[in-house]
Amino acid sequence: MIAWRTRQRLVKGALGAVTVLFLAYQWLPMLTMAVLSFTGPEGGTTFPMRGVSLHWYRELLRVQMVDDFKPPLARSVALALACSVTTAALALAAAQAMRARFRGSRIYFYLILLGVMAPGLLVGFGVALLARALGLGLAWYTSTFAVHIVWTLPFGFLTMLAVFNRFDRRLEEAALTLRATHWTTFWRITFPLVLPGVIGAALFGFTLSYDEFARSLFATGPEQTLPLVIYAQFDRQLQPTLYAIGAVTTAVSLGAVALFACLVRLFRRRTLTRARAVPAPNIP
Amino acid sequence: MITTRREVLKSGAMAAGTMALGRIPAAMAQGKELNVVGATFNLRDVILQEFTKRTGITVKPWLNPSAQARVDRLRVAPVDNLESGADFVKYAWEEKLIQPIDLSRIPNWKHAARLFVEGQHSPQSPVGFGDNPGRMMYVDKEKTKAKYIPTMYQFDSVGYNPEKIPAKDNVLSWGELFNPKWRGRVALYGIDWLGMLDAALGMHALGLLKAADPTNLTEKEVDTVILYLKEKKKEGHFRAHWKAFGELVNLMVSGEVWIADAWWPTVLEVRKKGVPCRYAEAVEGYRAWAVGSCISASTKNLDGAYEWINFWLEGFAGARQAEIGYYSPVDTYTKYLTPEQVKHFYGGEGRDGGSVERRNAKVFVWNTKPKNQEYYTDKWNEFLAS
Amino acid sequence: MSTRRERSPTSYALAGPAGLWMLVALVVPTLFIVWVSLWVARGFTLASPLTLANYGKFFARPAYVHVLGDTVQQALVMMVITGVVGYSIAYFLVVHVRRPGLQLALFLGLVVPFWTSALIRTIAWIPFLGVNGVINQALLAIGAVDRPVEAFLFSRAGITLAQVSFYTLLATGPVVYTLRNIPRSLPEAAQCLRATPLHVFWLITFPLTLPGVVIGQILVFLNVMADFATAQAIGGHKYAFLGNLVILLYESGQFSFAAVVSVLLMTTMLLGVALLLKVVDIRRFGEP
Repeated sequence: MIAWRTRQRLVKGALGAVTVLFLAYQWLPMLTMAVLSFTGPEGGTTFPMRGVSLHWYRELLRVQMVDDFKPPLARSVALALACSVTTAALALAAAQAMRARFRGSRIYFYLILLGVMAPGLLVGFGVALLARALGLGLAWYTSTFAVHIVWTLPFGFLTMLAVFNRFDRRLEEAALTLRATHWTTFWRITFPLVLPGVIGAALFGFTLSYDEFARSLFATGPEQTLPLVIYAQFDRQLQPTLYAIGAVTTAVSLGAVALFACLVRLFRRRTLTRARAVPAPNIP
Repeated sequence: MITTRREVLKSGAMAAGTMALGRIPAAMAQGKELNVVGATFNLRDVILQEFTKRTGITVKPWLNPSAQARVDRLRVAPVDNLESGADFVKYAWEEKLIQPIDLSRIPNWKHAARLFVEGQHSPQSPVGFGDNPGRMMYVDKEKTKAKYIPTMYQFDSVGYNPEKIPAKDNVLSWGELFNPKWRGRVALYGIDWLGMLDAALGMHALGLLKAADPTNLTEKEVDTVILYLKEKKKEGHFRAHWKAFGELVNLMVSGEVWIADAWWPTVLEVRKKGVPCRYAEAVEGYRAWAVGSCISASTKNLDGAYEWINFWLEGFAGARQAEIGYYSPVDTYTKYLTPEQVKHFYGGEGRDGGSVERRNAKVFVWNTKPKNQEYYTDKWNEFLAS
Repeated sequence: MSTRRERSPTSYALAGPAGLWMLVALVVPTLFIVWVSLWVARGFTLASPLTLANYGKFFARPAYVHVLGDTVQQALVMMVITGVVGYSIAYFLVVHVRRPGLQLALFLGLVVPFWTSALIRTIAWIPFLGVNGVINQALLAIGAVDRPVEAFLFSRAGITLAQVSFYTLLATGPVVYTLRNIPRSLPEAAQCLRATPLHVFWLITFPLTLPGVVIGQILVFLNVMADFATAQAIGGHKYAFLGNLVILLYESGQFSFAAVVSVLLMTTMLLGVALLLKVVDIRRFGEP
């Protein structure tokens, strides 16, 4: 009969081991990729490395007629920004509407969620054939944008629903009793309080759109997005240039996280100093 | 909060602005553009850059390893030139997707090798089974118009790692692909008509298939091949399948694959990366092919299309393709290669398989689009899904 | 503008744009594909007569039914693995890690890889799993094997190994969210009533996190069912799941049959979700 304390420690140890092992499992391929991105010009995408150089990073910067990654990168970023804004706006409106439990809101809920449950290939395939039947062209800023929103909106919608489910209606009611209009109530009370959800929806919109390729595969015109150009390499030749892209992306992500952490710390320090400067009220 | 909203609106406006700006130059460049459909072994960066430099025309390439997908592209998008082999040119011609090429506008074609005028390198050379370009590329008996202009050709066999696989005098049979000794180390081409053809050649060499014409298998023969392939797959004989020469390069360089129905660019690239690789002389004979350029029936830039073809026969492209192992049908490349290089690539000095003459003497089959290709596709998909 | 009253007109106006977008960009193309799946013609012919025989053709071929079975099986295997691993990680992060800094750092360690393109991460697995790859070199170095293990790459096992790395976070995230929403008073109250830690977990914590678990499982199920890139790259073109089959058929110009497979894929996904949703009502997700 093992003591309670020891059992606790064993469980914690086991779960901790799983977590650490999994983290290693996720990061080791990324580190392998980062190391291999520095392989020499004669190197391939696998070990052994043949020399060390920045050749593949320079290949990224070189302008090429085939396999140039820069214009697709620009398109992906632009598309992701557009999706981010649109998802946040549409999700906010839809979630706000759901609060009124309008007629058909149950079907509406499943309609929005259908975006997650429809396989990307089918959606892209459908849009491509439909466009062909109607004689319309496919382009990254029209058809691809449309299918990206189909994918990102459900996530934004669920985020907003979760936030609104925890929202205290009494704050709105208080504002209304103080003779605020519905519009003012929304912008000055509701919106600031659900802003974390809105930002979450916007982030979902950005990240999901930036990396999306299943839906875009058939629905994009001749000008491709970055994931599609990378996917095309699967049928050509995987070069260390892709590793260079991966290494740069990870470095940028880590840099963004570090920057965000510094900003948060700075902000917190400033609010604390400001709070201390305000004298405490004398409440009996 | 207000600041965040403003920033959000600003980024949205910027995105919209970039998208709008991108469309205006595109409309202006319409006249100086050429839409070309091809693959990684011909639409190479060095060749495209040189073409743009000389003519000022921007090439908009569309690449796909599948010959079928390339032809189908003409149905859904504006295309000026289609790069295809004789096999699928036949298909594109039947579907009226390409237009005849006036040979009087292609001055260099009068220097074409005899192989492409008569269908045989010399009167003693074998004609070979299947879609022989010299016999089927002309529209009329006088040979004044052609369905396509071959710009590169070769004779394919088996590529292998000589350190792992012994081959006396660099001679191997097509059947070596199915040797159980190399189980788990073989890569077979993954697209239906060509994978099936290579498999048929291997089985034919091993006596497992008695086909009158390996390039046009009957339905029963297709079933035999697929059954055998499924068995081999279950045994784990194939390490992977490949569709573009670059994929096979990675497979052979990483040591995963020792032998495959490879193409010349693979062999040269693998050697460059420090792994030994040789291209065998096939006992039963080579699988020959000739890829070239055709002009789409709906092209809006006819002059540009002819410029593209003439550029390919001018010599620069021929020399660059020699460097990845391909022959040019006209001998204009000599001004871009040193005499030693010409002796090596064409004369066969120090090159696996020897000279052009030697290869021509051992033609067995040509790349062919089979008459019942739909049946091939159905059964091949079954094999891939098994 | 008000959504305070039930069924207010403003709510319809607000709901409109999103609903319309989904209708035009999702429902209409899906219905179009269902129509295409009924075409007799093989290629793209709008005037084609209709038939249900295409579905019969699919089920008549054992190879294709096998693909359907394989895909579902892969999804189930992944659901179990990511469910167990994901829950362990989530539990460790929320319950056992005390310092919020460490918690955040570990969470970021899990999330940051997702900001790199999934396709590039897929490619990164190849030098890892291959015969001359990192895992084999390590195994050879410590003497665990005397020949490199081939089964890691270009095999079903390899596909599963890679997919675990991609999809476990989907199972972890929602569980973390629901775990954090459990007020500390509940397990403490249970312990005051002399419940063992196992009882606390099984009777209190786990049922409260069930919505998160189910959502995670649904997300993993949907993603694995529709996955084709991992199978293609790590499988070496040797394995076909339903997604790969769709692409194969589309590229060989067999539109009606590709549509059949797409419709079957979507139907299976919807059935799976419907089954999983019987366990919990997610419309109340997030309610305290």
